[in-house]
Amino acid sequence: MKEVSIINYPYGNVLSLIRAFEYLKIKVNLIDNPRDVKKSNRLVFPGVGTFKNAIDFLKNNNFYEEIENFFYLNKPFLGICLGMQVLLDDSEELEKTNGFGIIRGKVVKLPNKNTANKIIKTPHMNWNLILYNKNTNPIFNLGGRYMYFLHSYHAIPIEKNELLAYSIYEDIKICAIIKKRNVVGCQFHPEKSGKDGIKFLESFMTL
Amino acid sequence: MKNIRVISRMDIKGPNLIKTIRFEGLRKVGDPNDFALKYYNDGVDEIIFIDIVASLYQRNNLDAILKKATKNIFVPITVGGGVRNVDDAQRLLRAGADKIAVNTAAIQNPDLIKDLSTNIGSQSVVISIEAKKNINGFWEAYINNGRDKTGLNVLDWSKKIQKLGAGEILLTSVDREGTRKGFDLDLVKLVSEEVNIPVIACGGMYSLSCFENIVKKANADAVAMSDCIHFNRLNIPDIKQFAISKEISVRKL
Repeated sequence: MKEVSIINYPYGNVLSLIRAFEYLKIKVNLIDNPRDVKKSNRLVFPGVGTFKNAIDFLKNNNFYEEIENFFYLNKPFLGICLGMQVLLDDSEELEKTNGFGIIRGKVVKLPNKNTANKIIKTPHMNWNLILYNKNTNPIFNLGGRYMYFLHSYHAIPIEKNELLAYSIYEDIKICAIIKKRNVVGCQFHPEKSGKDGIKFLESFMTL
Repeated sequence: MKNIRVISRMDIKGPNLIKTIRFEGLRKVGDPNDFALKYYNDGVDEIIFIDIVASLYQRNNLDAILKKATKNIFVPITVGGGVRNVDDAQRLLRAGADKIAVNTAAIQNPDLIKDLSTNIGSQSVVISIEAKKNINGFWEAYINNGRDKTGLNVLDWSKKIQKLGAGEILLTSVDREGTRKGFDLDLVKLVSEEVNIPVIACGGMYSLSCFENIVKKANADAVAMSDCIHFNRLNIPDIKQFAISKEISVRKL
């Protein structure tokens, strides 16, 4: 039986993510102890809330270094929503806070207005069409499908080849999937994105 | 461009999905989990469960329904009814809810909105407004499922809840709820153009043209429906196909 470890981040709805993997008949280990990161072969960090809180949580509970080691070993990692954003260099949310920096780039607030000066409602709380860059790894090819987004900040990765997919909200380009080696991040919530979201998690399990 | 969310609103009493007319005249519809699963398979974008007797009895019975729903339904779920404090909200989030809808307790204690948004995040705080036009010609907010008036002007209240940190407004017209008379366009337009958080229009959807009107004429960000889908007069794939034919963006299955 395939297994996945999920960091038990105490904010938000981890249950839905557990259920989504269980739906795929995957055994879930919900981990509270940072030492269990080492024992895991596949790790998911589902973050909600603020960037700084997420980083503080990881550091105060000794997860941070264990996750860095996990990246170093190139085992498959999936960061969801804020769990994706912490993969970048830093975020301006509340106060400038450094992330893991495994993906070059920063996290900034969604603008209040689009380029036509029209007010944009935030958070971006909606299903949105996934668009693909060429050369995208076909196992994550969700082109033409819709995923559920819920966020007020968004990531701007620098390296074009690390941005696998994006969405357009109003006329703002939103980073949807990033990947570097086996480290994957998605801004949307696969566990809330219906059957296509489940398919995305299934794809992650094939890495 | 943004997608308009199609939401099924499911009012619950005890173990049953029920439907009311103007929040009264209760009819039993069926098993809420069966209906929720059907809507999920049909491509609903979100589901709202409201325990309609909870605020009177100060308790919420949705945990069991929610726990079951999380096993096979993977779209955002909002839960409301009788949420009095941050603990209630956190309990429901742990049981599988993504957002918490509050009306009565928020009106009685507006600081609850601030507490909720600080503790569970604005994105998970939905303020439900039950609006009824009063004899002085303004929209008044009601509590306890449209039973009790509060004297509060819906427009002032909407601005205030946004300031306090609400992430979304579920706006129900008490006069139209369950009547099959169509949405109250004036009400929804008034609120959705005043706030910059999403507004879900609720109460009165009976035909495809209702959907077009509420989006195009009243700027609703999302449309909640119950009666028309519970009794199978409309279904979600048809509503979405119609929306696309009218150049309204929706998520396609």
